[in-house]
Amino acid sequence: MDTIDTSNLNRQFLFRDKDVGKSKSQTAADFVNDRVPGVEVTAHMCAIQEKDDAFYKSFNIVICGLDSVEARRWINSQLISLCERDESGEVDLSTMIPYIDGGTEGFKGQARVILPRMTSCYECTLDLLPPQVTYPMCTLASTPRLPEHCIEYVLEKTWSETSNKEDIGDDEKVDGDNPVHIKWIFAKASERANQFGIRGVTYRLTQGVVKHIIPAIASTNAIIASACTNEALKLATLCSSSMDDYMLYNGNEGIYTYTYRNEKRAACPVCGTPPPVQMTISPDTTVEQYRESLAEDPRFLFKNASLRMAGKTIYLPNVKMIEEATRPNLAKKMSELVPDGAELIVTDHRAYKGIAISVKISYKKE
Amino acid sequence: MGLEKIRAEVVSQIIAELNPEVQGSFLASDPDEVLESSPTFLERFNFIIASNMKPQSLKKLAQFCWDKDKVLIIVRSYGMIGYIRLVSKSHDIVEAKLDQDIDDLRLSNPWPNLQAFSDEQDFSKMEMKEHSHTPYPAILIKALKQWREKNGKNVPASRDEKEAFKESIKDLALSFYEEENFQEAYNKYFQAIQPSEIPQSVQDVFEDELCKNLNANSNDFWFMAAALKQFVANEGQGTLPVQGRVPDMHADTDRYIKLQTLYRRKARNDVNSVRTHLGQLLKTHGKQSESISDSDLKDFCKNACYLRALHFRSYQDELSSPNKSEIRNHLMNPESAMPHYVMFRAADRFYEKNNRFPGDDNSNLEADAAELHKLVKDLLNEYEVEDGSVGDIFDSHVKEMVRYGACELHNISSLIGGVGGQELIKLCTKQRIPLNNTWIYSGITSHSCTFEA
Repeated sequence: MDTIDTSNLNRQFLFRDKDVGKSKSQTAADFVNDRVPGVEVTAHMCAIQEKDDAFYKSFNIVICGLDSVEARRWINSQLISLCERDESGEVDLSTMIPYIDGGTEGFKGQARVILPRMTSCYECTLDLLPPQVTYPMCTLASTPRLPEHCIEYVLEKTWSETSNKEDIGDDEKVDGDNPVHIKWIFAKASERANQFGIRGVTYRLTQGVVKHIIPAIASTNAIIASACTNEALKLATLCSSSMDDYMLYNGNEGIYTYTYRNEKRAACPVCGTPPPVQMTISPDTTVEQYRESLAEDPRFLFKNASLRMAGKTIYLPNVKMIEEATRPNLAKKMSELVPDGAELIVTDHRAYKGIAISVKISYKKE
Repeated sequence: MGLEKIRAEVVSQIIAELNPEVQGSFLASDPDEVLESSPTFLERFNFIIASNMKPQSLKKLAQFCWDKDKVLIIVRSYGMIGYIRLVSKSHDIVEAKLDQDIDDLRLSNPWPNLQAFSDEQDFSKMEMKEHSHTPYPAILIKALKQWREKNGKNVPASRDEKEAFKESIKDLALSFYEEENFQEAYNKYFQAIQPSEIPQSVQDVFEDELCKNLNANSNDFWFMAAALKQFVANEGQGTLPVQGRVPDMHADTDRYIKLQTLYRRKARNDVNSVRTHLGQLLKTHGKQSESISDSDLKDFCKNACYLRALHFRSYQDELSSPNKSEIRNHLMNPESAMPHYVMFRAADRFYEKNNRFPGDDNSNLEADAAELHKLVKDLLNEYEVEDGSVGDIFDSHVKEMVRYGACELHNISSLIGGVGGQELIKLCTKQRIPLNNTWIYSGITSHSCTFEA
């Protein structure tokens, strides 16, 4: 899975030169076990989605330092689905596992406490998210997908590794306002995009990416990590009350923090009681086009949706055999498979655990 | 690990581990003794971080740093509460890296080449594709020129005139709702009617005593600031040098690059003018003209509208003449972390009297609380906080402070360490804007407050 790269060393302070190439989780666990006597950390090297309910039930508190919205949504829905209510509808506290989440970007960061079914959850505030714009180096190096990945790669690697660049001195730093620099990066990124069969590298996009490099900073990680640890300590020992429930940190101009309570959303598909979603689509929409629309639709943001109806699977991407069996459906029209007014069960196994959204489909009359 | 070892030794070892190219060393001595018998040790450093120091020693160290012009960062981790105070006589910033860029494209007063570029765009001869990829600055300059010819005035001023100007942008489009560049021009119409202004923070730099009174010991920032000021008064005709930065916009590559090149060329010319002033100033003060590099001056001019100079109050001033109105204002806000500041001051007075912090041995908790409460009352009187205006919130703060007994919690320490680290990065890179000057954090509510103490 995730292994240590030289570029991690400046901010991921549990790792040393000798650790480059090793597993991140194992190295981090070994480091803490070694440095803090009496603590026992167990590393698991797998995707969070691979673990079952029993695994997550074994924890009292979950702290996350995840790198994507999708993974956060998944762990959120997992922990909420484990939280039960008794006959009177009260939350059964013995099944409630607090979820503490943190994230950083440059000099900014955030920390948050989610008490399943009691406070707002990650999904409740999904619409407040800005679009994500940073990419991990491993993606850039080995699995570029977007034109942005090609540009970032040239910026991070090719620029410094290429000497005798045309009209550019070897010591020159990238200047986003210098057309000579942008042209050079644009050319190299286009080459790389061609290699990977990626389309869409343009001069404009190149410039946009070059000018939005957000550095990752060790001290911001320390701030957010300790804010999360602080909340965990308070929840575990009850030595003090918890943060209520979200803290924003910005160190760009002076030091600014803002701590406020997010509202629980009654219609939240994960922790609330959502009204049925109504969608009216063209009868010519193919299953594939419909799935693509779910990736863009802010109510879903499902990049990898699975579609079911009572007694019938339309498309299921996460089980190999069923995927193969249902793949031919992708090219079919929705109206051939889903009757007008029928209820469709939609989910994304990478974003939701044990939760699905029911959608009532109707077709536009021609 | 590290039990029974010298703290300084363990800390320097662990920090050095993080970067094999950095050399660390330590001196395990009482800071009072170092200040008294070998102050030259401290003179070697540019930045001094005082972590959880005794109040009396801290005062001495702060005085030393002030006298020797050293940057002092005071950090405290005290139970669930954290504190950071920065002291630097003056701190100058070239790269403020604000969250929001300032775009100053000189559209209301284009220089001849920029005007010519806009004039060259002949909409009547363009097909849709070319028309809809004309950069918006060219559109705005054209629209403004037309408006001027029609109205015989310089810029639209009244509300009606502004509306009419906006509509005239729509009229230039072939199909406004299909042409994103025209929509961009329409949405940014104010860029065409706003004169290029010098931000207050930059005017403050120009009016700073350090800018007005250059001498041979002035640093590069102030030489460049003084040269910039002369540029503004002469060639710039009241404006800063052109930034040379063109924001992203809907345009074809060709014309976008053309526009970029125009701005860069103008920026370069402006830098050259500033260079001339700078050369004169350096010469007047007996310095080599090359002592400031072209690339430093270029960065300086590019960031001209972001320049800032901060002057911090000294720690001694803070103690002898506290910023009462700031303290009172923050105390009015029930969510403010300001009460913790008052608690720190009270705890320090307690220490100066008893040579220990309240609650640090479990035997006198009640007596300590009573004494601390009295000290808080005195402080509130000194800050001229009206009796009753803060209610009895301090009762619980006193209890909490005594409960902490000046203990240091690892989670609060690492948070404060991280924040201190960020501030140190900002101070030594002179990028972004450091705290001025005090930050108080509550690990209970996660609220914090910033103020000038």
